[in-house]
Amino acid sequence: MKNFVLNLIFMFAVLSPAISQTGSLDTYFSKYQDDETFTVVNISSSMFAAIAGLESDSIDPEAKAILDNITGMKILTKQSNGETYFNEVLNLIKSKGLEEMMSIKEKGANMRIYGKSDGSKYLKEVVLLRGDKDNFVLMQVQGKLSIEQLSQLSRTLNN
Amino acid sequence: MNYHQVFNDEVFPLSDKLYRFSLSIVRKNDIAEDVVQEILIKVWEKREDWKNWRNMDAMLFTMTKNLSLDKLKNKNNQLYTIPEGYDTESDSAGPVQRVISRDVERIIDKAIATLNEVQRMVIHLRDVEGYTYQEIADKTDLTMAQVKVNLHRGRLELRKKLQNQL
Amino acid sequence: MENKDLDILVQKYVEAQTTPEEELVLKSALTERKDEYDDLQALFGYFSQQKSIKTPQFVNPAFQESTPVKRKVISMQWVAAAAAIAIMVVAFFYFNQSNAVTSADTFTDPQLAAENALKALEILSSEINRGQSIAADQLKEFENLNKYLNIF
Repeated sequence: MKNFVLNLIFMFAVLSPAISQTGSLDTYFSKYQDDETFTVVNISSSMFAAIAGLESDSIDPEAKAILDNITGMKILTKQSNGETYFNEVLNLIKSKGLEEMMSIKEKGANMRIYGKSDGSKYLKEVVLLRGDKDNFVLMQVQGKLSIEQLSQLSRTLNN
Repeated sequence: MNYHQVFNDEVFPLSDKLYRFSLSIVRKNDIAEDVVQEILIKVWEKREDWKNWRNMDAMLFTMTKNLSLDKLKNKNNQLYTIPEGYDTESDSAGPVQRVISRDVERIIDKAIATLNEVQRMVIHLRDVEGYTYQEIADKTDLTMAQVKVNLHRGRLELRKKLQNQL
Repeated sequence: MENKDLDILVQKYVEAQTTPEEELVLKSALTERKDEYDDLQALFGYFSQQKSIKTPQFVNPAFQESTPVKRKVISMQWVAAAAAIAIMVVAFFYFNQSNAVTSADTFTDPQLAAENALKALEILSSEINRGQSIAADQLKEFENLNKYLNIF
């Protein structure tokens, strides 16, 4: 019995990276997914797989390189009550094993960026949280990500 | 224990009363709002302890009192402060029906501001919310005697100040 | 009510010796006399107004989950058996190459999805840059301060 279970657990450990790709804040996103006062965007891993298969002429190569390494993206926005939801997420995030990488607090506007390492120098998850009186943004990106690559992106796309 | 049910039936509905209570101490809408929101979260996080609490109501008010006093202390670095009064008219929540004029309200606001926090909070709990002396003692973690003394002193002071101006 | 009795009641009130019922009596007695105890009249009016102050919307931290989670004590044998079954189910799905999808894709067209994903990444990117430049500015200020101090 013990051997049997151990063997199965080993097989599970080998198989699981291919299957479990849940983001830290998935339940939070599903909480508001049917709420019409929110804008919800969900792009699944299968969609990103399809994106990877697109003709690369239409997209900038640096951007495409980043996209190829993304396995999931969820975005939640609302045009009011930013501070309330900002705080709601802040409290939730404490228990999710995400590391705070950046935090800007300006008059009435708050921004945080969190990351979760995959063991190497890459991040397997990046979360952006923004809230001010008129705006709330929560973005969860999964994959094999690097902050340097991401920060380069806006310079690339705006040239 | 069904934590959700208890929270939704007994804790969350008290938010408004806790807000007004905190406001009587801190006298600023945004601080009172922060206090109550923090208390709600703190209480929910401590749900494993609830079974040990003798009186949920009293505990909520006492926690609100302590956090309000902390915020007051931090904000001004003085224990007893004399704030100017509530937020500006556009911010302050006006009552649905006016019994006294805005001017009189302002005069009374200023007078109340000169009382210390303990006097303000017992007057609020008795004269605004209508709790009994025992209930006030439980909610503020004071003895009945202390409640009455503060109530007496507060009311006396208020009358003195108002008799000059009204 | 006699004037004398009213005076006594007021005195009792100030000394915090009144019962809630007596306070009610006091309030109604005062409303009958318009010109006496103006300060108390105003005070009682004030208190009644305070009761109906508008309060903000609070966020309820206890999420409304459809069914509350019940904790049960389970023996290890059952845990092992449940784990074994769960693993077999997962292996089944793996070999069938089907992905468990929790929520619906917003886009059906990959090109559109890519464009929107890039827009989002652009926002993320500019926020990262904002953070990095603020940090860089602060570092520069710190270095400048050091240089200034080192002159002395």
